[in-house]
Amino acid sequence: MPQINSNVIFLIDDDVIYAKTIHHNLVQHFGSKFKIYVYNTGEEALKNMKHKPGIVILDYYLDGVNKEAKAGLDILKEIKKIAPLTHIVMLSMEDSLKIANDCVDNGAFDYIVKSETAFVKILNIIKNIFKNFLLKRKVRSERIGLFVAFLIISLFVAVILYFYKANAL
Amino acid sequence: MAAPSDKILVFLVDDDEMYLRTLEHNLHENLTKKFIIKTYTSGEDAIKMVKRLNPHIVVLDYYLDGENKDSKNGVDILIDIKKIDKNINIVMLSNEDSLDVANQCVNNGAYDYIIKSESAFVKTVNIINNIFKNVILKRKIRAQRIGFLIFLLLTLSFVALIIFFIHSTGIKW
Repeated sequence: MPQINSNVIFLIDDDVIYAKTIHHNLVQHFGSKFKIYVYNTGEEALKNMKHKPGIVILDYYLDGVNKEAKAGLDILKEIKKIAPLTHIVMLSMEDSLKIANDCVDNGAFDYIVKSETAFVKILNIIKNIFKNFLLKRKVRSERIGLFVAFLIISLFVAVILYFYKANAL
Repeated sequence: MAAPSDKILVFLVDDDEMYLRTLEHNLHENLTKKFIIKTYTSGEDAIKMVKRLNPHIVVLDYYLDGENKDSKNGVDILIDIKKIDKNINIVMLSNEDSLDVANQCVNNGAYDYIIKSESAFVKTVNIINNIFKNVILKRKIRAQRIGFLIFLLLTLSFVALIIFFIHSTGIKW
């Protein structure tokens, strides 16, 4: 059973407008290629991990609206625990070494600063992640294909030798 | 491919030599020994070596005409490298966080685009590691195919050998 669904994206940001804008951008760019779920807290997203997101876009500051909400970094760790194969891209208002290190050290795929180039970068990174998924799928499907071919050829050789033996006698 | 098969060859291209050395040092410290790093201060030099060494990854500065005004800028070099081999992964560096620069890089096939801020080194290391995973996957695919081909050849020669053996000795089995 696959642990993740490469066509499912979670957007997690307590800034509702920003999340909607990214959502709009993704739909405009990718059409219906991805099923996108938007959550305004990390807790909500964690409850819905049954959708097995392949990609998660996660805001670093999630306690802007609700001070009790868990920070993005905690959500990153929890998602990685539940679904280690999920690729998580962190978003942050601030371009700092500490945040970048925190994100990368905890297994984030990348870390994007919410500047004017953020949308271009998000689209690009999703494309990169998807290419990685395709490569992984190719490795797996070719391995299965080659294994089946291996079995068929072995069987074929066995049958040929068997008939050859029968004829030779 | 000129690089030894288990190594990953990375080119760093920046006319700011100070930045180039710092980045090189940082990558040496944070990447595994699997990476071979070569540095160039001009895009033109880098292109010559891209043709000869076929690197996996090129980290390329967007502004390459700081020292020599006649130099091509980074996007031109990006386009030239992509023409030589479109499978080379190119990561662009820029001082400026602008939509125009980002779009130019991505639309011309750059893998990613990094702002030279305080987090730039961490990001570069991270992106190189991400690309590395893809290179490994591609190698796996190739290895699987070669492995299968060898199996096929061995099986065929095995069958041929047995049939030949039966004919030449006339042994009943």
